[in-house]
Amino acid sequence: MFKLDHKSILLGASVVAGTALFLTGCLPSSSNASEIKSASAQVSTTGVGPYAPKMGALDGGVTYPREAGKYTAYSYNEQSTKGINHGRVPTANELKAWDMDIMPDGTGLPEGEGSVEDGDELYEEQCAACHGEFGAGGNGYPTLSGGSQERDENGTIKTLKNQRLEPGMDAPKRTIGTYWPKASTLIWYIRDAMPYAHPKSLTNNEIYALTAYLLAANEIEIDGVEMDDEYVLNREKFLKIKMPNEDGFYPNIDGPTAIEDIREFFSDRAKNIGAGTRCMTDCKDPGMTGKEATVMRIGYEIKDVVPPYSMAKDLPPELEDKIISKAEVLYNDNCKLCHASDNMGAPAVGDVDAWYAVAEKGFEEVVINAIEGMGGMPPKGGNEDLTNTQIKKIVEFMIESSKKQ
Amino acid sequence: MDRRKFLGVGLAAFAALVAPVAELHAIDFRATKPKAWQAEKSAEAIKEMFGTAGLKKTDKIKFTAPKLAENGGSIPINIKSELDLETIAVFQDANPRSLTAVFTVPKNGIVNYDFRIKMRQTAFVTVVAKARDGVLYTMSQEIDVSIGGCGG
Amino acid sequence: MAKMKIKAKAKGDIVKVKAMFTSLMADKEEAEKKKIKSEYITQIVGTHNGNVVFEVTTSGFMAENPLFKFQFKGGKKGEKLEFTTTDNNGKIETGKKKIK
Repeated sequence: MFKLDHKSILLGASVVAGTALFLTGCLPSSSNASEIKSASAQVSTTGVGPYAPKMGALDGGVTYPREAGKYTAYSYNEQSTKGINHGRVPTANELKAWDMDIMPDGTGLPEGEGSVEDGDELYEEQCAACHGEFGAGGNGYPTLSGGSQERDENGTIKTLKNQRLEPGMDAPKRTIGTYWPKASTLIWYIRDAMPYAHPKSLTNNEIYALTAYLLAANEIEIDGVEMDDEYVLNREKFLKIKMPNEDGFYPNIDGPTAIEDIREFFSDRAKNIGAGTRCMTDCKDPGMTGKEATVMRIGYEIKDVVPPYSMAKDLPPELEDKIISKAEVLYNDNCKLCHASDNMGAPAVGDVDAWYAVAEKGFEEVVINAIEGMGGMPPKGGNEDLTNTQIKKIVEFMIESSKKQ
Repeated sequence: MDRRKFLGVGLAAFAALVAPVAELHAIDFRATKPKAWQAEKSAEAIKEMFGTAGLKKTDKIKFTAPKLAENGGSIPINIKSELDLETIAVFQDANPRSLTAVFTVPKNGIVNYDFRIKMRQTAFVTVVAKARDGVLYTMSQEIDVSIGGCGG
Repeated sequence: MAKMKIKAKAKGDIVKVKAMFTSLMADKEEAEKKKIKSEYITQIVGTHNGNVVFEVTTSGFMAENPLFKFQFKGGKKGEKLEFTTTDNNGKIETGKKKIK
């Protein structure tokens, strides 16, 4: 690696690179104080909620107008570069823009309120397509509810101890109600990443409503109160939530004594982790207790597959020279994964009925849905590089080839 | 207190009177056709359930199921029809016994049911529906179940 | 233990209902494999104004926590919809919900 003798040159480069990543503010200086003022005003007017979309703004960042090829407030950088090889100390604005998580202690938790009933409506519209009715799962997306919260004599939730030792047995059920230790994860994830097709499109009241609905679907009680349809969740009530599996994790990694707790836990390996000796050979009975280790029994051969697995090492049959259209190439690259079958809940290409129902909406509408995303489908099938014309061609191809079959 | 007690008794008695009337509509097919629930194969189960009358293939009852089920533990199925049906039974050959569910359609009811079944292996799912005029309709579809899929 | 989850929405004359019931739906063979007690719902009856609007006799081959969607005519907003489930061990559970 080369040393930074020419720090200022590199710093200039980092500023250019940095503008692409963070759109940054500076500390006030006499030369551009007025510009700074306008910049900091932009921080506070970014709209409702931290992520209200704004043209030209990068995720969570601040945009500055460009003048004479320079980002106005960004032309001078007075942040310390001491001890940093590449880059500099972030400004207060940058920290504010990036420090966006919601912590279990309530840091970052927005104000707002929403009822279970409102959440129900929203869930049905925006979430049920992937996560299933009542959060029951399906279509390959995570299950959000279900799994009994019944506990064994040690207070561990029973369904978490499921082991899939044989085909047909249940895996551990890790849903919000049985597994998640903190509710802050839920509201934070909804705000930052959901719904899949339009992340960050929900208002604070809506994220509270959805959180309320999902907690109610998992039969969580807040402060001893059962959540019925009329239950309204707000910041104050949210902080009182205690999740069923909050104490199910060990060692305790929270709080001021966390490091000591972790050290103590790992210091007594024999008691807290296992037998204490690692088995490397002939491990059927590692503890020499005369009993076969349970885990040894995992591993089975999948035999009953139709057609049976083949061990033959043939090359796939060569395809005849077939001319395929550009639309088909694009379809294969971007859409086929979900649309080849109806597994993901998407209308399968070749399914006349499904596409008839789609086409009834009108071609233009279908194209718009494909561009903007719909239900479980992300905008443009997840590939932002596709142009609207290409999408139109693909939709045309999908409808046409469904008619043919 | 007496009055309240009296009212309480009155309500309970009333409920007891009303309940059987409502129950009369409900048919427990487990009680009326016990043998059908024990049959291992669809053909046998259909015979026990609906007798030996001929089955008519139809496209007027729409039966939608995924062709390939990734999660054998939960396979969504939809049955939809404009016909005036009385009983709809679902059979499959993937489990130890065949008969899975029997729907009783109320008079003037809408036939549009969504539900989820379990299948341990790839097999045919057969729907047999009895119309109010006694005709038996049937249709079936093979559902591929991928074993050990991520949904388990 | 767990609640029934019912959702009913009136649209004109037709009420669309979604209902999820809590049961392991484990038939004899499955229960043996999982070393649990066999437990499955055998019958579900939905009533509205004393009329049966939904009725199904089920077996252990329905998916766990069975979910049903159906429609019926003649329901209005604010009216009550009631469900009764019976399982193979004779346990009876009921649940109610207002039509929205």
